[in-house]
Amino acid sequence: MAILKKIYILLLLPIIATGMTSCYTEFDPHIDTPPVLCMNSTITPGEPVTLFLTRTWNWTEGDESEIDINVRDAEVRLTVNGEFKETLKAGVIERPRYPSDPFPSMEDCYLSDYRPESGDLIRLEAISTQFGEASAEVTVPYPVPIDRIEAQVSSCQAYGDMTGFPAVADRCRIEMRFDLLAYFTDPSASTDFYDLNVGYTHYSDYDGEATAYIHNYTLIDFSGEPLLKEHVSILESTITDTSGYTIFSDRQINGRTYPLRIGYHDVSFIYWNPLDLPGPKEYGIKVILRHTDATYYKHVISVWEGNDGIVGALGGVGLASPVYPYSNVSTGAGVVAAYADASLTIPIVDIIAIAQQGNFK
Amino acid sequence: MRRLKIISLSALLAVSVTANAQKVSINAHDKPAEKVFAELMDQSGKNFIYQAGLLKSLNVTVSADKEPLDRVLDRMLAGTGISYRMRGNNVLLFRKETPKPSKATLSGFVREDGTGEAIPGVTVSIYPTGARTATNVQGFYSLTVPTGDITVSFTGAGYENYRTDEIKLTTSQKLDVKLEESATMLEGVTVIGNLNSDRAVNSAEIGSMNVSRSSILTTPVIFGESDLVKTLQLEPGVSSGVEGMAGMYVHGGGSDENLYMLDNIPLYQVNHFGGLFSAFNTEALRNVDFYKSSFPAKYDGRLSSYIDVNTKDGNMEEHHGSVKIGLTSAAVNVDGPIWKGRTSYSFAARRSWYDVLSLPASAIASSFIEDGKLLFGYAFTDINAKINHRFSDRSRAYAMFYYGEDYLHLKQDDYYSYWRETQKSNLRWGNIVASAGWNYVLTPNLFGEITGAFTRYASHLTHSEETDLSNDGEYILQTFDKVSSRNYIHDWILKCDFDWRPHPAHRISFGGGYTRHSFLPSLTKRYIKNGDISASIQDRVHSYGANEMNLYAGADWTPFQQLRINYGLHYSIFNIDGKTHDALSPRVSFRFHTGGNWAIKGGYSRTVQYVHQLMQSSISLPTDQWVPIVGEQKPQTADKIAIGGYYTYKNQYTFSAEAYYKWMDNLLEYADEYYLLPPDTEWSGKLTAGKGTAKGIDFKLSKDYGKVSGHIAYSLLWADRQYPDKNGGRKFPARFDNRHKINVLLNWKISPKWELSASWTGMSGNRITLPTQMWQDPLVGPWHYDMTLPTEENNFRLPFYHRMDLNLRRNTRHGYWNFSLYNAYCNLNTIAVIRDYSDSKYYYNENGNLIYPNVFKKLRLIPIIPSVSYTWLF
Repeated sequence: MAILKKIYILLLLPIIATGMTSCYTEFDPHIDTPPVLCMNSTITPGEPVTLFLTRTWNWTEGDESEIDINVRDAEVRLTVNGEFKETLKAGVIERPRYPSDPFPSMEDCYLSDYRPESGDLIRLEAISTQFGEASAEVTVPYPVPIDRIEAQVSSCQAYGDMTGFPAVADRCRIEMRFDLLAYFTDPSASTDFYDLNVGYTHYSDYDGEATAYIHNYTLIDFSGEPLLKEHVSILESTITDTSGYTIFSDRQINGRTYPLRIGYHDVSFIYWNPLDLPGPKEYGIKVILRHTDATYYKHVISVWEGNDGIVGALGGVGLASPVYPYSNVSTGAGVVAAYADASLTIPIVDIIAIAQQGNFK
Repeated sequence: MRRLKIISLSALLAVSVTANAQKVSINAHDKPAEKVFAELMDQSGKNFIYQAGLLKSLNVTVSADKEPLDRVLDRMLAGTGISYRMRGNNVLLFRKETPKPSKATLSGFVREDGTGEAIPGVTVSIYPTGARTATNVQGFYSLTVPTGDITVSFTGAGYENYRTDEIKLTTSQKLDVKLEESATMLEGVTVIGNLNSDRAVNSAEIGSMNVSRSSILTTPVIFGESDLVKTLQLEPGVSSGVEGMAGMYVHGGGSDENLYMLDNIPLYQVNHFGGLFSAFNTEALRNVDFYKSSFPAKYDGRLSSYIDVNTKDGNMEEHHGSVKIGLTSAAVNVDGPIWKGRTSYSFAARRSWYDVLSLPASAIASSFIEDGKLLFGYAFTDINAKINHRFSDRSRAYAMFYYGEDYLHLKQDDYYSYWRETQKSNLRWGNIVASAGWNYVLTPNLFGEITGAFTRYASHLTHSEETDLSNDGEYILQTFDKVSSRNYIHDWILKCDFDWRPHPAHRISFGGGYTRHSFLPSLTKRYIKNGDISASIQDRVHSYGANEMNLYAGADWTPFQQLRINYGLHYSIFNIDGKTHDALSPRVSFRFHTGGNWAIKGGYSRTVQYVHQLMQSSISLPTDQWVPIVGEQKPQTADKIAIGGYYTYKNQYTFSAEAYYKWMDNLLEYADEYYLLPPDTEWSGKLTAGKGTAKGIDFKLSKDYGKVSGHIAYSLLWADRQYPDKNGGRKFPARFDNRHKINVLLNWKISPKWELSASWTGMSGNRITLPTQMWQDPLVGPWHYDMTLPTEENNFRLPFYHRMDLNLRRNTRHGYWNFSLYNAYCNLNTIAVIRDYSDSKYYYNENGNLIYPNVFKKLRLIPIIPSVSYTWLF
């Protein structure tokens, strides 16, 4: 259906419709612009500041993985709450090439000894003899705790030996559909930005020892949470794909306690030893509420606008100005953002217990 | 001063003679008067005193034999205009004062024979005085000339010339005339222009032209949908914007800087289907005037151009109509008398076919998908209706209605094992115009019209998403999210316009109006339901009411034959939110005949704009809003000077060259990164005010009549913009700064049955912003994206654009076929540049990995598009 949704654009915009007969021709636009410094850093409380300092490159130079864009000879200064703290040291650290990259590469970086705290105003300045100067600053947010998580189970089928369910050997497989409601209370005094994520406190393929694992066949659905679509206009809802973004602001819920809805559709749990139920509490679903600074939010919004927003979609075919990814670095390249995570886990056995009660909603 | 000087140079010259005799004898036949007087002076002994030059070139015939001098003089000077007076020994000769002839006014209406439709722009000339004027948009004319025997000629392009028999004009009188259409009478002759050659050398206006319905119908366009705006795109100095769209960017201006007047009432949204078609149904049009350089005092409110569109009044004599069926739309047009000779009606409707195609297409597509359904429909509609009634020869009233709407509907269901997700969208946007007017010939040389109107542009968009749990075939609501958004501009208008022609050399127009604006730039409501929790959110309502008042007076004055001046003032007041802005917009233009068929023109005009359209892209979207200036914003202004030279040859070929310089201030544009502001930010907070300039020169050679007609036009343009919050405050070229633009339009009437039209457009490409520098992904956000570094706005010009369109018309007994080819030689023009990977230059790197190098690619889009339509006339 996502493919169908793209058809809307084709039907709505005749120019794009005729694009079915379009053709592409490679060429060199002969636009020479000098490279500038790029600063990328995501700062969290209690962790050293890690700055990836690179240069910009011309698109036709190649992919960043193929060319050396690291800037290693710069002086990077860290200022905290207006006071110079230290000059960052060069180092090497693992850096994923994309989110959830299972094989991150080792990359040059600049590291601090200082570990920022929530509320710190962090300023980073870099000076390179070859590429000039760059600077950016950000305030480290406080974590916003998740008060509780409720599960609403709408279906449950179990295959195995388990109380209330048909018994099969020494394990059981449970197929469920449920929604999690993660309640949190937004601070009322400030404008706040969030990124909602989920994970598992334990995940393991069957190795003979694990007491439970979660089958790969899991569909996590954020589309039931309206707050995640507040940046989407009606026209965009109609003609573009709006999924895949989990950021939101407190514009609609400022100061209120609100349940964030996360759907788990067609998920399977397999318990190795169901007779141990209610089982270890540590195996569960972890909901992470990331309280971000405005830069983080703006950057993601700009990426969404550029790729899925109406202006970005039209800009891609020359019908509007391009939407640039947001940067808070003085050169316009890079993001120095900060966030503070808070998380809460709901044990899978708790969800199963609800299912056993037959308390389906 | 010059006149006094002449008088002073003409000092009296005395000629003195002496004589004694009182009786004289003389015999002269056609003899120079000075010689005759010399002889009389000798004989009479009188001194003859006269002004130098009085007797120059005067020959007299007289015969006398010893007659008294006074009797001889009486006979000799009879009929010469010269008289005399005797004072002692002196005889004073002087020119007799001729009594001023009395004057009378000839006025009336010029209408089309057979339909009774008013014909604007007909030249009315009175002989022998040579006085001339042109009919106004209601076909009214008035000329005040000396009484006597006159003949009157009426000349209108596309009509048979008509000259009256001799009329004895003793008192003011009325003369209504009906002209026969000549295009259909004269086999093999096509008229694509309408009075434009006459305008070129005779009017004082610069850059104005008339667009006839026939010229719109014969201009080849995409999908064969004849379109007013696309016809104007072929004029020099007019950029079309994005290919295929009905955009109009006049002399480096913006698309919202053109005032479209539909029967004297502003029309806000002039696009359908993202701008592919304009809102003007050609079948409903009667006459269009287009002004791009100098503007009559009547018009203000937009910076760049004025398009005065008049719809058909309706045939007063008999019923007529047409039905057109094309690939993309169908149209019907009927008009005729309700009360023959008194009341007429005109009705035209047009509707697109897209939903007829898209609904079944999407239903068929859905049938192949097991886990979902999709229904999609789009349509646009135009309805024009008009009733026209003549109370008397002097009094007429009309009521006009226009309705235009775009409609987009979407419904999508996604089915999963235990739940269902449903999305619904309904988008409607369009115009309504309703007006009523009464015009009256107050005196033979004063024509007045009063109009009351309501005009509205509105869009209403709703979208909802719902998830339901499946429970034994029943669905239980789980989450619901509905968002609706509205924006509109409503205008209530009352205006009076007067056309006064006190003298053949002086035509004065004046009037005023009041408009009550209501703006709702955006109102978004959202209702969310998540389990047991629900919330309703509504944006702060930024609605405004505004009062606008206009007064204007302008004159067209011909002080002497060589010089014609058009001058005027337009004063406007705009009151909004406790603030009042006012502006005085002076206009002056002149035409100077250098002899023969040449004319030189020059002019200056200032225009002021209080409302503007927020557009996020180069195509028309339903979210584009018309908004007023608010807060600290100032009215947008444009000052323009223009100069031009014109030449006509045999009233058939016209050449013009018009240069201009325009500077604009307080222009409003979206600021950089406006999309990062919270959704409830008022629009004005997303804008930045700046300035711009445009300069250029337009050349045009046209042939308005004959079997082959058309024009060749070339325009040269520089246009730029500068905003404090855009492009780092630096000046940048405008998006449609098409430096060179060439248009060729040819129409060949092959035979009474076949007619071929061709147009060719070649121009420097549009400008786009092409970022080339990339930066490392910060890994913030869900995906890995290319990060682009902001670059100079509009830093890259797309390649030269060129295209030919063809239209072949086949007249049949009951109508005509149109076969058209858009982009006839299928040149895929570049509309965008994208970053991509090379398909042809791949290689293996040192690690053995296959590498597709990064490249830029031109996206070349619209191919040849054939289309056909049939119009049935009845």
